[in-house]
Amino acid sequence: MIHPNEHFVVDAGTYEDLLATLEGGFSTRVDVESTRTETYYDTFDWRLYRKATQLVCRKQGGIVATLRTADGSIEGALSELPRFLRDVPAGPLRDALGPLLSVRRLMPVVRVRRRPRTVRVLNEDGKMVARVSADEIEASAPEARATWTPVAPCWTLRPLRGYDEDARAIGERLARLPNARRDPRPDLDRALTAIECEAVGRSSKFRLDLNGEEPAGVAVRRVLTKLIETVRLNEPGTLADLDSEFLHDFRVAVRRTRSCIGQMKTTLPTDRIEPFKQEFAWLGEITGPTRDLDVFLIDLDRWSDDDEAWAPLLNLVQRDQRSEQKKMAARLATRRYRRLLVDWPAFLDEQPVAGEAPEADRPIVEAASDRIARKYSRMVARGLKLDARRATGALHRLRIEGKKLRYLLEFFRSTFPAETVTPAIGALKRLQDNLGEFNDLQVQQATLPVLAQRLEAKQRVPAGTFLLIGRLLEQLARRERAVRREFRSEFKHFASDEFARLIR
Amino acid sequence: MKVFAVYNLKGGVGKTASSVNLGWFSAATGFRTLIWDLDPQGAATFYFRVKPGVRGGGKGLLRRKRGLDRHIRATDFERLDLIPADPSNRHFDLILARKKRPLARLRRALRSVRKDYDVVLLDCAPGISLTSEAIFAAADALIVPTIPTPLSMRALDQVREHLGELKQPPPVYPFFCMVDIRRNLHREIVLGNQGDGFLHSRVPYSSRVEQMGTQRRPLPAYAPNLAATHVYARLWDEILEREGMRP
Repeated sequence: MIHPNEHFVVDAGTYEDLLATLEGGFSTRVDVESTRTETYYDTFDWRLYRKATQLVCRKQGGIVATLRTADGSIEGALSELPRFLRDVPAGPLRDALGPLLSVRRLMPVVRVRRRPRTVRVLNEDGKMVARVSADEIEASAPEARATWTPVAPCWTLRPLRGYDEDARAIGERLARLPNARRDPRPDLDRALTAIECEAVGRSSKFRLDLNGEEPAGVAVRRVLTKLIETVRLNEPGTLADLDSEFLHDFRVAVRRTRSCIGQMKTTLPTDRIEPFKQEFAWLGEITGPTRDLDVFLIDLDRWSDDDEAWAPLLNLVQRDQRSEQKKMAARLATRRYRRLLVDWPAFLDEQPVAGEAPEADRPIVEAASDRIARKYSRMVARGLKLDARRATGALHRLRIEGKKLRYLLEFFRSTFPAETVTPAIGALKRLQDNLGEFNDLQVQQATLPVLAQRLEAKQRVPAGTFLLIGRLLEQLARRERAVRREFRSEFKHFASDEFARLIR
Repeated sequence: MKVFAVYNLKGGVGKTASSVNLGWFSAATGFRTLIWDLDPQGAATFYFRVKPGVRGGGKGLLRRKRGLDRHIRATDFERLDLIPADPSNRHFDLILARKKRPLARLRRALRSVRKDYDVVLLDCAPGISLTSEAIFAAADALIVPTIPTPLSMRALDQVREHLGELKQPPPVYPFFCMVDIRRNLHREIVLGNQGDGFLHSRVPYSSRVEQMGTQRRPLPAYAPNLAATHVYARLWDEILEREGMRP
């Protein structure tokens, strides 16, 4: 049995205090290593942080990446700074990172300058009985030229096997120090505190507390206000192309806005809304091509292996994505977009005029229930009519209807009892996943031949690339048939009485 | 987990220095390593500055239920641990004799730590006794430091002869140590016994090796560039190769 390490964070403690504390009964020797700089990486939504895992990179010849988990650490050499999982060579490090990262992009979150210092604590025979590491640490934001800020010192007591009693005695001495507190959190937490950065899990779920009795006009404006805030929040990440998820969330908020305006139009003044509808449609249009390419890159990432035949296809799509991203960024810098960001919130802030729309003054819970029930019946009617073995357009339209229903349930979920709305959203999501996969397969099967044609026009594309595309198309067609079959059972559940009761 | 017994019938041939230095290189090459000081003199224990004595003495070591874990001490070196000597180790034969199936006892005791270590080095006392029989049964291989003198060579022959009587004797890896190549006798014996199962690395005689007693550290920790240190490193590589082990 080896006692676990103990960590003491000492606000305003100096290294001399540490040595003085250890003197008496013990002697000390200090090993100092040269200063090194490390960069911590995480995804935009702190996936590693939330799993109590840290990815640290430092330059040492090439780049050495260390993944620290509760079970220990895994090291791996990289040829360049990591951005995606594919930048990490195959091996234990990639195996461990894979399930954590999936397709998300890694970004530097904090830089740390560390001067490692280890105090060896010796007994009267000169035998080491414990180590205390007391690294001197400074932190800075990941941007170049950011200033360095000292990080509160943490002294870590590392007991040695068979010397538990000595470790206990040393631990008690450290605990008695003024300002010392046991704190098992890793250096990353203190480094983030030092640069005033907070690791907050971002969620793209829609959450808003509404009162069911609120006038619908007011409640819908609150929903729309929340959505435009989300658009704004995701704008910097979208422009910088940090992670495709920023643009995704940006677009979802735009789509939700359009859906909300359309579905709840009887609660808003029609003449005022009309111009905005066009603007949001435009916003959806200009961001579409980049998103499609982002999705395709994610697909390619999932399909591809280390076979070099993938490279021409990957390069082509990456180039397209970069150029579309640039075009989109230019459009998001126009006055048209800026004006929308000012005018729309200004409209939403206005006090609703009584009687401005037919249902503006109805309690939101009633207006929303009506819409949801009607949408649901229409979806069931549509779904029953179509033949899943052959239909394409009808399945696509059903998917769009499903999205609208889902958004309604999400916008107004706080006005309904959780025990009905949560399972309803869950069951709808399963149908939507099926329809979503069908749609993805359609898009992929339409895109791949076009890309193949463009590659054909180029020189020096290996035959293997075309074989890959051919094989892929076969697999996609097979999968499409399966997804069509799965649709029937998913839809059966959706159209069942059990589900209908949840909706009503 | 591989168990190596550093053993010789004869005393004063450099068993402890070999156990300690090979243990150091084993740990340095990445193996989680345990040295068990079975010699009542406790020289290996002394070299690591660990206090001799284990809970319950020799009896405590072989107590079936408790395992070896509670007797283990970390040394000052990463991945290198020690079970210290106990004065009662000199009665080890008597303790073993009272047990059922005494020859299987050491092997069974080691089983309790097989998940914690990749390499175990048994630093043995000289002589042939019940304890050494139990060591032969526990070891995957015997490492036999041998001084190139007629008496040492005779002792090696006796060991081989004795092992020949066992059903499944462990392989024997003898190597020359404390070699003073200026002496005719040493030179003749070394040259005359090349091959014959001897490892190729020969540890030269060096007063710096003897200083382990005053330094109380393994040789590589205070004389990393000494020729003898490099020989121990090569010796360890040779043993790994013979056993088909990879760091």
